[in-house]
Parts: sequence; C-alpha cells; structure tokens
Amino acid sequence: MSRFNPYEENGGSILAIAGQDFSVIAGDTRQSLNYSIQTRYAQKVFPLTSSAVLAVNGFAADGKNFVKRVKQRLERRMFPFYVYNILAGIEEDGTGAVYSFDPVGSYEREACRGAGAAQSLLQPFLDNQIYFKNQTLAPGAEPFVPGRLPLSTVLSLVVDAFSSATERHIEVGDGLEMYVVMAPGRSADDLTAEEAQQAKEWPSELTVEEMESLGDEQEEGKAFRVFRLSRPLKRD
Amino acid sequence: MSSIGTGYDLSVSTYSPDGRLFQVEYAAKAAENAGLSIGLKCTDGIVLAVEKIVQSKLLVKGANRRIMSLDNHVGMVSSGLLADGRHLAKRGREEAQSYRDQYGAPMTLKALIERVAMYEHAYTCYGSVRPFGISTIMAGVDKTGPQLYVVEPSGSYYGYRASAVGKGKQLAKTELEKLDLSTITVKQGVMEVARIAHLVHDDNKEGNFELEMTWIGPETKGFHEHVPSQLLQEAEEAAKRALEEAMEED
Amino acid sequence: MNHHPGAWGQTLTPHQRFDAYSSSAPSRYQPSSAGSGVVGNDHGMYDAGNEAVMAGGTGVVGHTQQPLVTGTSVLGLVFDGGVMLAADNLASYGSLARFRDIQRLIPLESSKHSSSCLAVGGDMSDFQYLQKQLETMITNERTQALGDDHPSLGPRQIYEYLSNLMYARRSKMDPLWNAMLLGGVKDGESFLGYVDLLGTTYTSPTLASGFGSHMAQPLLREAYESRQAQGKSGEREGELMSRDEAVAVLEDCMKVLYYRDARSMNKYQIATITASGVDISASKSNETEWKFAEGLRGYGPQKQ
Repeated sequence: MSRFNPYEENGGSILAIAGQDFSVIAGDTRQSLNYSIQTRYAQKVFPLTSSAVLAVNGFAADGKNFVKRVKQRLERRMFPFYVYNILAGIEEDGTGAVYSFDPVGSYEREACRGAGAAQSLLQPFLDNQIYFKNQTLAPGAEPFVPGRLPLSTVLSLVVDAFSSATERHIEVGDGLEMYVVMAPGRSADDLTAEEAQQAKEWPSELTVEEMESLGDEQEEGKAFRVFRLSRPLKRD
Repeated sequence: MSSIGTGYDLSVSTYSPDGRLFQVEYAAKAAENAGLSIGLKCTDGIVLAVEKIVQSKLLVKGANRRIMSLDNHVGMVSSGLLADGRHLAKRGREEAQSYRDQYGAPMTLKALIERVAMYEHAYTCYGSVRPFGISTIMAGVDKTGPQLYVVEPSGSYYGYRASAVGKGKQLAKTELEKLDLSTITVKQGVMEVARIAHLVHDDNKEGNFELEMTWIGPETKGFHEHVPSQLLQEAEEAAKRALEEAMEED
Repeated sequence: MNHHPGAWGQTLTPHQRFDAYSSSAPSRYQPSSAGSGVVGNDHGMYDAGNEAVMAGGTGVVGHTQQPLVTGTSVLGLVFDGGVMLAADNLASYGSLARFRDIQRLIPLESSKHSSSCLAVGGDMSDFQYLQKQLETMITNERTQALGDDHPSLGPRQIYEYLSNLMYARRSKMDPLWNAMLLGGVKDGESFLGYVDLLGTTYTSPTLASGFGSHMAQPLLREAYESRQAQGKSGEREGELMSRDEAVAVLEDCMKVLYYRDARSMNKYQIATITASGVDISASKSNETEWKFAEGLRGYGPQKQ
C-alpha cells in the first residue's frame, strides 16, 4: 500500500562564499518539479538580520515555512524540514562567514559552500577556485590562502558558477539573486563605483541595489551594509 | 416605581409582591436613557441607524462604530450599555455561524432572534447575574424577505415594521407610524430615518451627534453594509433642510 | 478487477491484481512495487486508509488516504483587467465520469476593495470541506469588518490562510488531496497563486495544475510571453492580454486538455475576476474534430 510522501524536491541551487570582510550568498530563482518549471521566480535567499542572510534549498514548502519559523526562533527535530541551509554574513570579529547546515541540523563554518540540485556542479568549481584545490603553486609564489579573494573576483565566480550550472542542469536557471553583506566601515566602492562596474571582470546585466537595514539600530558609519544583486539566467 | 427600596430590587431571582422583577426594569431604564437607535423594514431591505452623542472632541470622526453585523445578512444595533451590546453581538455571531455549520444555510431572522432572546432571558433567571442593559434592534434579509425584531432586557421580543429604542423613542415611533411602510424602499428609508433622527435629537440638551447608518438593499447584494457616505451626507442635509422649513412654518 | 463482494478481502494473485482499465481511483502516490501500470492493493479493493503508520501496535493512526471522487486540472491566467480561472464540470470516480455538472470554481470574498476566486482540482470531498472552512473564515472576517476599519481579506490573505492550512495538514500526514489556484484582484493589482496537498506554493502570471501543467502551461506561457514581447517592442500598447484574448487562450487550452486528458470533459466554465467582482461563465464547450482518429489503429475499423 502506498504511503503518502510528505516531501518533494523542488530543484534549484544555492551557494555562498566568504571574503575577508564581506560575504556573498546566492541562489537561482527557478522552482521546479521533475521536468516542470513551476515558477520562474521563487525566492531562495532571505535577509534575516542586518548582518546575516539565509539561503534555503530543497522542498519549497518546507523552505518557506522554515524561514517563517526561523524568524520566530523555533526548533524542530523529529519531523525534519527537508531543506539544506546556508547562512552567510559577518561574524562578530568583522570577518565574512559562511555556515552550512544539513536537514537535521549539523553545521560547519566554511569559506564557501554550494548546495541543492547542482551541488555536484558548483562545489568542485568552488573547491578549485576558492580552496585552490588541484592547483600547484608556482616556484617562489605566495602560498594560497582561502577566503582572501577580492569582491569583484567572488562576484564573477558566483555568476560563472550559476551560468555553468544552468547550462548543465535542467533544474537551475531563470534568474540569479545574490546578496552581499559588508562589514562595518568597509568601503562599497568595489561594488557601487562606476569604474568597478566598467571593469572587465564585472558580470554583464547585473543590477545592484542597497537594502534597507533590517531593524537593528546602528551608528552611522559603523553599520553593516547589505546589497541585493540580480541578473537573468537562461530560461530554457 | 413606588416599590423602590422595599428590598425586592436587589436580585433578579426575587419577585416583588406585585409580581415584578425590578432589576429587569432598571436594566430597561439603562437602555431608555441612551442614544436613539432606529430600525426600518422596507419593501426591498432594511435600514438601521444610531444617534451617537459626541462624548469628546478628541474622538476621531466616524470612529467607534456602533452598528454590528451578526452574519452577512443580519445587522444589529442596541441602545444602552455598549459592552453589553458587543457581548450580545458576539453571541449572535456564534449562533449564526453554528447554524451555518450545521445546516449549510444562512439562519433566518426568526430563528436567530429566538436564540438571542433566550440568551438574554437566561440573564433574568439567576441571582448571580445581571440582565443586559440594552434594547436591541436586529434586522436582516433572509429567504422570507426583510425582517426586523426588537429584544428587550427581559428577553421578550417582537417583530415590527419599524421601531426605535433609546432616548426619544416615543417621538421617533410616532414619526415612523406616519410613513407608508407597505411601499417604502430602502433609498426612501435612508432619507426618512435621517430626518427622524435629526428631528428627535435636541442639540441644546444632548450636544452634537453623529448619525451612523447601515442597510441591506438592492445596492448591497444582500450584504449588511454601511450606507455610502455620500448618500448619508445627502440624507442628513435633506433632513436639516426639512427641519428648518418646518421651523419657519411654525 | 473482481468487484464481487465475495472477493472483498481476498488476497489476489499478481495476475488478478492487474487492472487494465485502471478502474480504481487514480493516485499520485502509487507504491514503487506496483508501478508500470499496475494499480491496486492487497485487498483488491480501495484501501480504506487509516492504516496504522507505526509498527508494533502503538495505536498511532495514520490518515494516509487516496482521493476518490476527483476533479482534473485547473488553469489560471493574468490578463489586463485581472485574472481568469478555468475548470471543467466533471468529478470522476476513478475512470468513471461520475458527476458531470460540478462547479469547481468558487467565488470568495468580493468587496469594494478586492475580489477573489478559487479553482479546485483533486478530491471533491476535501474540496467541499475546504470551501466550508474558507467561507466560515471569510464570513467571520466580514462581520467583524463592519466595525472600525477592520482590514478586509484580499486574495493574498486568503492564499496565505489556504497555504498554511494545506501545509499544516500535510505535516500531520493527513493531507487535503487537492491542487488549487487562487486568483484575485486587490486595489487594482492582480494575484494568481498555486497551492497543493504538500503545501507547495508558487505564484506566476500563468498557472496550471495536474495534467494541465504539462499540456496547457506551455501554451499559456507562450501566449503570455508573446503578448508581453509585443508590448515591449512597442508594437502594441500594454503587455497583457485583453479579456477576449485571454478567453480565447483558455478555450484553446481546455480543448487541448479535452483531447488528451482522459479524466476531462468538454464542458467547462471560466471565472473572470476583476475589480468589479467575480463573474463565472455559464458552462461551455468547444467544437471538436475526431475524423483524424478514424485512421488510427485501435479506434477505427482497422484490425491490426
């Protein structure tokens, strides 16, 4: 006899990368079921506080309700939410942080993490580009240290990761939504200045808007800053 | 009230030697001295109105609504203790909803008024409770057409073509009797009710008032709704004009 | 399948269990072992549900069920004056076209500020239960709304309530077996959303449930996007379809579904939700052409 299956896989992918004094977190906006695209815009990345942004991937209904309940600070273990979470933001010491979680709650701080339908495409790419895996140091060169890439490089990595995943995975596409969280006092010129956006590395069709601070009172000049970046992905 | 102070007015569970329940009569007094409510049954619907004495200039105009809905098709207004009115409305809503749940159809006014009146009546039977200090007009349009009832604090109720409760109800009723109630429409009803409310009200004695009016008619598709503010304004202006003309004639 | 009462409760051989005409009610959740067209269970009858979920006689009762009387897909489309929904008039009992005059579009709250309407597919008894829940909630809110500026329910509020209800039921492992579209207009803004038995929700300017998500959604998207492109290029004013265009697209979709969906019927209604209220059309049907089928093996007179 068939048993009601309370879960579904709604595709899509999320990813986050930590920098020295910023972090970037992103997700595509497609929601699908098997071969059907349910909608081309469903949010997967949610700003939670002034310094933390959460990305949720897996069973969409659980994802929505998970975010709703995180905002109410509730806990649940016996009937797990079928969701993979990535939390990105700024730590108390001012460094960019990425935490990844599995559905039952075990978590880890990392320099980067990809999750969701295209995890197997995203993660090896990040391992190579962020952790410098399988790269050999030129004789006499500075040693590789993960988590020190400039923002512009991280942005183009995220865009490349998602455009590539879109090409190779049917459940990824439609749109890319990214959030950048910046430590207090950090200049945003490398994101908002005209020259930065004219640079060769700057991804095409990228729109940038600054988010309103999420509530916490912050002194002028010492505030966290959050930016929302979006860009179309292929829709096929 | 010749028997006042004879000891028979302390409990609702004790009759006086001449067979009266003084607490119930005192409750009726609370209703009689409060702002006037008017209800009118028309050929195509019903009209409810209440005279709200402006208690303070700090109150927002149009706020603190007094006429309530019990269901989509039933309105209610009462004169007397406001909180008692709200409590009764809550009970009325529960009755109407439970009827819908059980029978899958809207409750008729006759059935609803019976339940609400029985509820009020229960408060005249026990020494531990106090009767409702309100007279209530309940009106609506059900499958049998427009209906209007009045419930007293005693729990007795009567059906009317039109009625008024609260301060000045006698004068208002006399005016209502002059109307041709077998042909009147809600549109005409709104004008007449506004005129009567303004006629009965005495600015010098009671201060300013706001007129709140609701209806069920062809325009509301069977729902109990506020009379559109523009129509209400027209009705009030016409009422004031009519009063001035009558004054000049005198 | 043997429906004789004497056969009830008997264990069937795999051969007896094979149901060529799929006469038991369709389910989205067939066991993997009974895949590939084999529909049925160990009793040779509909499973009554209420099987004990946890082993060891803990007394914990599960509510897992199957839909019995079902409606098929529903469609939704945003146009320039609001939203349209479409659903046929059939409620099937398995493969039997059991009830042929069922309205699956229900108008909900409509006031000066907003209008909403629900289109329902899936189990019809769950739908009737849901309808009652919604109407109770809406009546309740409306009676309160006569007081001081109590906010009235718009389509987004009704959708949120519906989503929460569906998700709560799936989390109790006792789902309401439906897939629904809610369409509405509030303060001139159109809303169209989907919610199903898993509590899965999404919004989009074109939506379709069930079979329609495969057959009609591509047609709806194509029509919607080409009209949008015409607007963007300046060829035509505005980016949304007119009322007549929207009706034409929906009629076309209902025809395609009638040709291909064996649980559909050529009798359907369209709800038009605008700022001025919800208008539900009389039942209509499409001209169909079956001559081509004469040449098909299995339909026409040909043998082999």
